[in-house]
Amino acid sequence: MAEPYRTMAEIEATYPNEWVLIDEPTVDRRTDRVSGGRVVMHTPDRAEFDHRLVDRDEFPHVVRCAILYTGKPTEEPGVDLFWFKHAP
Amino acid sequence: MTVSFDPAHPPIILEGWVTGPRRTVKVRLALDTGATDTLIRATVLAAAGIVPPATAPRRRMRSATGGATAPFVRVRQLLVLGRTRADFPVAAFDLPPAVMYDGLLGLDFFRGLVLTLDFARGLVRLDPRRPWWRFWG
Repeated sequence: MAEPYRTMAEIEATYPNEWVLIDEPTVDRRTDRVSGGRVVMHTPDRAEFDHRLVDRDEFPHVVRCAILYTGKPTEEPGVDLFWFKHAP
Repeated sequence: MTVSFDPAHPPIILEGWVTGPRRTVKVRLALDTGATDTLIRATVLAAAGIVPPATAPRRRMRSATGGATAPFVRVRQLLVLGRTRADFPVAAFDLPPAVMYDGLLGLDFFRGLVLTLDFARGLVRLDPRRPWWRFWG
């Protein structure tokens, strides 16, 4: 059954703290952020998300989509926001 | 274009469109004025149809706590804050799954443009360069 269109607030409430794949997302022109769409995949596990989207290619019909996390973005201490291209 | 961010809770997260031969994907990117180059999660690039070939140039990237190498690929389009870069080089990097955004928007994206970070109001704005005669306008 096709997933219904949901607003981003509804998506966040329905799938809290999960990665969601949103087909044909709508965008709020004022904020430049996704305002809603049809969720075609959701999981809290990013590795599983990537595996289903890329390795197993479960969504070949999805050509314009959004990949978003529905929880608060947290700072990952293992990643430095500080990259310099090093001379080869 | 001007968008808001929470100045009390860095990083500054923006949403941008990554276009490859297979898909156009909207993802969240952290604005990183400490990064010389833009970096996007390798699996997002793969979802867009961009897979680094074995011959892709690999460059060493250094950070405050270490370094790593990453292949560079070109995305057809990268659209952020209303500005599009075409045939734009990005590093394809395997960000840890625990990172809740899909890349770093580096200084190379902003070259030739005017980036304004207003931490008092929580606004980020990207504009074209003004002609000198309109500087004060």
